[in-house]
Order: sequence, then C-alpha cells, then structure tokens
Amino acid sequence: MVMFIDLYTEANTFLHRLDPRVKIFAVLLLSVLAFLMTNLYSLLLLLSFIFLLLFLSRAKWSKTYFALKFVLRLMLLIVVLWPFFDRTGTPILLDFGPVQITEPAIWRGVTSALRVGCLASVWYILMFTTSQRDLVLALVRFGLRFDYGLTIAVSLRFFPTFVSTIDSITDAQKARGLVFAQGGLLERSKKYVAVLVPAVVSALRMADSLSLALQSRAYGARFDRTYLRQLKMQAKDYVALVVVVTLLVLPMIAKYVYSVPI
Amino acid sequence: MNRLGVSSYSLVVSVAAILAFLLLSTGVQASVITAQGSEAPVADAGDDITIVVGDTIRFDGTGSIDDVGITNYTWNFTYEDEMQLLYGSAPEFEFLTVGTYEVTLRVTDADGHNDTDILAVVVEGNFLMKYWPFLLLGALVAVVIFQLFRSSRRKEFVSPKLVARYGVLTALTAAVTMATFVPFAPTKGYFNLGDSIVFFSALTFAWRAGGICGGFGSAAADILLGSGYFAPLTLLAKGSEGAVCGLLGRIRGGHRYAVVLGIVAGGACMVFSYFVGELLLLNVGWGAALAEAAGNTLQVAIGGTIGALLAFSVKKAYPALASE
Repeated sequence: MVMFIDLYTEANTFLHRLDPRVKIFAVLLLSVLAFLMTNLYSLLLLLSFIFLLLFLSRAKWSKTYFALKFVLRLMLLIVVLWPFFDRTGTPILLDFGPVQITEPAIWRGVTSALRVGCLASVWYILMFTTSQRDLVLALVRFGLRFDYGLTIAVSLRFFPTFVSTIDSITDAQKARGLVFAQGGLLERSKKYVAVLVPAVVSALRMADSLSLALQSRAYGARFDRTYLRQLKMQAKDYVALVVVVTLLVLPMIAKYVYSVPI
Repeated sequence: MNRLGVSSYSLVVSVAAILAFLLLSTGVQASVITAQGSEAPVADAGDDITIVVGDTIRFDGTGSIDDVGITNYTWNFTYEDEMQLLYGSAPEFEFLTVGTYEVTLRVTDADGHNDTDILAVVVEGNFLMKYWPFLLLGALVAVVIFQLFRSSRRKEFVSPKLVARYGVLTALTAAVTMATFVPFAPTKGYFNLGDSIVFFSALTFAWRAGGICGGFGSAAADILLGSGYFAPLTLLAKGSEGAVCGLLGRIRGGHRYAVVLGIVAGGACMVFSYFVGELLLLNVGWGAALAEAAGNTLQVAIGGTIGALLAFSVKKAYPALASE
C-alpha cells in the first residue's frame, strides 16, 4: 500500500497562498453547508465544487485516492445497509415480509453517503494546501496557547519518525523469525507487542532528550514571546472569506426564509 | 480507519438476520372486526407524527373499526394554502414545507355512517432544528476545550517535560494507529492498535495524558489519513476513552481489577460516543452505525489487552518510569 505521511502537496496555487485561517474557516462553513443540504442534487453539486477546488489546487490523484479510500468504504456501507433499516416510502421494490426495500430509502442512503463524502473531501482542501507549520501557526493566532501549539507541532514533527521507527522494528522482528501473517486475530495482534514495547521505550527516551533540548533552548523563559513568521490577512483573503460566507448564507436564506428544499 | 472494523461485511449479514427476526416477531398485527348490528364506525388516524422536511409520511388509518366494514377513507388537510385530499387506508404524502398540519381522517362504512379523527403532523426544519440539544452540547464542549486552552491562569508555560511527553505520546498514538494494521484476510478488513497506546498512556501517566494523547493523537491520525470529518468525534470518543481509563485504571496503584475496570469503562465510552455520533451527527443510518460499533468493540477488546500488557512490560524494560 502506498502510504502518505503528510497530505500536504507543495505547489503554488491560489489555495496554497490563501491565509490558513481562511481555509480553516472555509472547511467549517462548507461542512455546515453539507449538513444543511438534504437534497441529492445539491449535495452532488457541493461535491463537484469541492473536487473542482481540489483539481485547481493540483491535488495528486494517488494522494486523493489514498485519503478517500477509508471514506469510500464507509459510504459503501451506508448505501448497502441503509434500505434495510428504513422501510418508509413507495414504490416498494422488494418485499420479504419484514424486510422491505423501497426506492426512496435507497435514495436516502445515497444522499447520506454523499453527505459523508462531502464532509470528508472538504478537509482535503485544507490538508492538501496547507503545511503543518502554517496550520499550527493559524491555531496559535486563533488563540491557542503557545505551549499547546508547540505540543501539537512536536507531535506532528515526530509522527513520521515514529511511523518509520515502527516499520524498522517490524522489519527487525521479521528478520528474527516473527511471522505476522499467521494465526487468529488475537494471536496476530499479540505479536505486535514485540514491536510496540521497543517503540514505546524509544519514544519515551526521545521525550526525555527532547525535554532537555527544550530547556537548553530557553523554552518558557519569557511568557510574552514573539514569532518569526507572522500571518497577515490580505485583500484576497478577505475576498475568499466573503465568497465562502456567501456560499453558506445564500442556501440558508433559500432554505429558511423561502422554504426552498435544498 | 478503525471505524470500519474487521468483519464489516460478515457483520452486515448477521445484523440483517437479527433485524429480520425482530421485525417478524413484532410485525404480526391482528385486525379487529366486530360482528354486530350496523353501528357508526370509529375513526383512528393513528398517533401524532413528527418528521423532518422532505420526509414522506405514510398515514395509517387501519386502526379504525366498523361492524360492516369501512368503504372509504378520506384524509384532508391544508398544505401550502391548498386543500389536499388523499384516499385509502394508508396513503402517502411528501412534506416539503415546515409547519404543523392538522390532518382530518373521515371514514365511511357501507351503510353511510361516518366518523372523523384528527392527527397532527409536525414537520420540523431539519437536522439543525431537530438535534439542537446535541449541537448545544457540542458547542459547550468546544467552549470548555477552548477556554481550557486559552485562559489557563498560569502566566508561564507548562514544563518542557510535559510538552515533550505529551507531544511524543500523541505522535506515537497517531503513528501506531497508522502503521499497525492487523490484516484480517477473510473480509479484507483490518484494524489498528492505536487504542493500545491510548490505554498505555492512561494507565502509565494518568488520566490527563490518556485524554490528551488519546484524543489528539487519534484525531490527528484521522486528519492525516484523510478522514478529517471524523476528527471531532474521535477527539471526544478517544479522549474520553483515555481519560476514563486513566481515572479508573489507577485506583489502588493500578490493581489488576482496576486496570480491567478502567479498560472496560474507557472502551465503553469510546464505542458509545462513536455509535451516538455516527447515528445522530453523521446520520450514517442504523446499519452502518451498528456494524461500526461491533468492529469498535472488538478493537477495544484487543487494544485493551495489548495496552495492559504494554503498561506492565514497558515498566520493566524502562525502569526510569517506575520512579514516576
């Protein structure tokens, strides 16, 4: 399986240049929009809009597929299982007595699966176009304390390190004759103890030396610290913000003031 | 990721079978017909109904009784300023406008007697209106988290030791979630051992570490793996898993029974949060939510076992921990 540690893809598109705070806001608003929509076609429209943005941000196909894979499985599960639990509506397509499959139920399942698809893919706009450093900076600018921001930055920094640590420990144990692809579920899982114990110990050692490194760099010497990189909202950021807010507000007005089913 | 547990597909079959059985045992209805002289019928339009905009409603007048048999059911109500007339014992109608509708059922029998019954249909806005208590709760939780983050009264940063430990354990949780699938051949599913690190952190470093590392590490794994929409739910589910396990699992210095209690209670928090969240917030339907809950239970059972094993063996392998 191709695995991606970081979904961020280096490029220079308008989405990459946008202020990360605007992008975080856009993800939240578009998610609310997906929740508001109950109509299959509006959700399809939203999904195509999201994919248009992904296309414009030069998202890599393989990465999108990797990210979508888990979501597709859930969507499939929803579509397949929904009609069995929802017996309302006509025409009835199949009737096994207690289990009725009706046509509206199938469409409701598809609609719900599409909503999950929208909610998932809208994140990719943020994750594909924003570096982790910018994400943390944006959170700090939103009011997150610096030390918590630093904790997040530390965890993002060490995440790929530990993935490769676990991989190499796994390889080392395989070389010593441990076979992972054998036995029942519990047996297989237990074999991972031989990987997890060294991984945890090495992580704890890492934490100890990291704490020394932080102290030696005068972490926490002054509470009112300054930052090398500053985020600054520019004209284009405000334009994007207005566009996104309009995208949410217009359908809301249509729905709640004019009772248009969206 | 872990939401789609191992045997999703075989679960589908078993869940459907259980459902079929339940429906069979409750679905048998007997209609009551009394055979006496010609009397006026008694109309029964059924209980009042509350639905969400866009839902199709099926009226049910089959509870009405008459001695010679009902020949005509007429349902009438005003919808969008127009009089609507529906016929039959169980007609259907799709409501696309919010409001409360008073539906009158008039039943007529073969002798021309008739009776009426009134049924209220409440059509609610949608998700937002229907589940506002949950949203309110979610907003409250968000505010609490935000406040926790922002306005801690200390005017100095948390110690470098804690920053390093929490950062590293969070990263480890995310990495283990991502890097250890236990493949499960028959269904091509897999699940991960991320829970074992959550339980390990909780049992070794108490509830705060369990909650923070479990919640944020697993949520980060969700975001990094492309299921960001799951992240808030994961934060709550795995955060409560770690926190509860850390609180209960360290009673009497981590007695054996306390550890088991902590893992079971923490796991129950996780399974329950995912189930309720998927059902009410993401609206994935009962089928998918039940399949997920079964997979999650299995995952907690295995993650808990390994987490407890880790907590014991790491203390031996890394004696510096014992002095904590």
